[in-house]
Amino acid sequence: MESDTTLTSAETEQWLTTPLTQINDGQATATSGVLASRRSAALRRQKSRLIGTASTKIGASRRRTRTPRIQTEPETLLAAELVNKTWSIYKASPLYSFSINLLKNYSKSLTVELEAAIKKGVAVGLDSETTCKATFSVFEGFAYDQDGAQSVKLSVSAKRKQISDNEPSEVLTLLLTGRMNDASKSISGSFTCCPVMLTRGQVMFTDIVMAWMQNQFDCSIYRMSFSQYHLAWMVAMWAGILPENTSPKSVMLVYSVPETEGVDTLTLSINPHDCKRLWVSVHNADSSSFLESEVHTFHKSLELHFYQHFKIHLSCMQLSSIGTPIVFVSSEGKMKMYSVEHVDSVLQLLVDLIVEEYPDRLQESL
Amino acid sequence: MAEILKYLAKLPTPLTAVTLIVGDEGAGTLELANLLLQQITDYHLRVHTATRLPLPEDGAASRPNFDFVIFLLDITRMESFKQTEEALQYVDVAYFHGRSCLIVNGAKKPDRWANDYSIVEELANAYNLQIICCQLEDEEDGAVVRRRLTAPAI
Repeated sequence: MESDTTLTSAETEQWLTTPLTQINDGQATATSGVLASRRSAALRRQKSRLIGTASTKIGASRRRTRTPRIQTEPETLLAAELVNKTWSIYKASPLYSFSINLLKNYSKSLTVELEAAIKKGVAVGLDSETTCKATFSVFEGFAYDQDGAQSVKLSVSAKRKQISDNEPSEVLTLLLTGRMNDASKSISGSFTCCPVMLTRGQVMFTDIVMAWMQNQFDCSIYRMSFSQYHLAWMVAMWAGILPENTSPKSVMLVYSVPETEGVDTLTLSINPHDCKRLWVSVHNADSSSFLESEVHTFHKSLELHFYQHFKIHLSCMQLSSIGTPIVFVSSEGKMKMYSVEHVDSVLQLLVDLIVEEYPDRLQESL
Repeated sequence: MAEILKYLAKLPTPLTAVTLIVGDEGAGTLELANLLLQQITDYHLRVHTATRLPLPEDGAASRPNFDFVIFLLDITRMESFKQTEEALQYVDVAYFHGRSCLIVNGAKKPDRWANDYSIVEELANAYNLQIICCQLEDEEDGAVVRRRLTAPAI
């Protein structure tokens, strides 16, 4: 059973005034003791670093920067391909000896692999008469660094032989993107850093393709999963952005309720305009960075507001998926983007999160 | 002013180790207490549990001296972290000289963490607490935690 609890905009009127003042009180009590002083020192340090240098390196997930949007024509092509579709996110370690010039060879090799898998009967629901074709292609003109590394698209299509006029249906689309500021450069010699893989299609084919990639490029690919901490960051970061043209989707926070019978999830949906007002009141507009304390305050105010109305502590629940006007992300690694203009910043964050998990030595060489 | 948990405010009982487990509801306080009591030790082991500190005033007279304080934190819930952070402020500094530790429950499911691990680490470092990461419902983990907590100090 599922119970939905929705806040209407009428209720949201008062929260900007009442709960926020309470939060300030809450923070005042929290900032006593050894830890509080230590942490604020750390934050001060971050702030000074922020003002001093324009470094793009992210300090251990405590501070994030929204990437400035520089739009060029071909980029919108990729962005249009990405939006309004649900993608599964995979993370990959750097690819060994991956070359953009050998895409044709890769296509051939993967096609053979897929057909072998079908003959073996691995692919359920497809008879051996089905032919598969894998095609790697480059997103033209979309170079994210001087070395010429680009976003690569792989599409797998299947066609049954018996029916001649049958259009080959696309069963899997996979995008290798890794555009980022610094991490895109090839690492020492033959490694290419291409951390984000987005897939859409049949799981069976995904498994085959991923296994082939791991063999071919000597890398590891894992399903991306987001912790509550990261989801909380995402909501706060993107709550303040509203796409201009269309009516924005509401901000949504879905919590899973642990160990309670009858209620599985709890959905808190907020009018995006209210959410934006709240974020503006929390966030320092002069700074392009987001501080952990801001994210904390933002969520604390939402929780307090919710507690005032429903007497439920949201912090006891587990945040399982989030929706903002520009993107929907769930903790098990699925996402759907809504806005063409903000594809960049979403991808950038994914890249940052994945690169942060790389070993330190690798990060330094990026 | 709320009462701070003092070390050696009362005389300790000979050949007895009295442990206090502090962890909010749902963090697995009782599971951990049962786990500890399964262990056969050369000394008497008594386990007290509390959901928060400071401990209530009534009953203070009958309460023994605590030799060891275990802070239990469920990393999958933000609330648990907050409660632990609060509880730490009501503990005598003497406990932080090797008479306390921080157990992080739910550590085996990183995708469900409510907090970045570095924040937990920072908390532990601030109070000089040793961290033991585990998944208490995991039998193997439980045995390891039990052994580590009840092993005689070297």
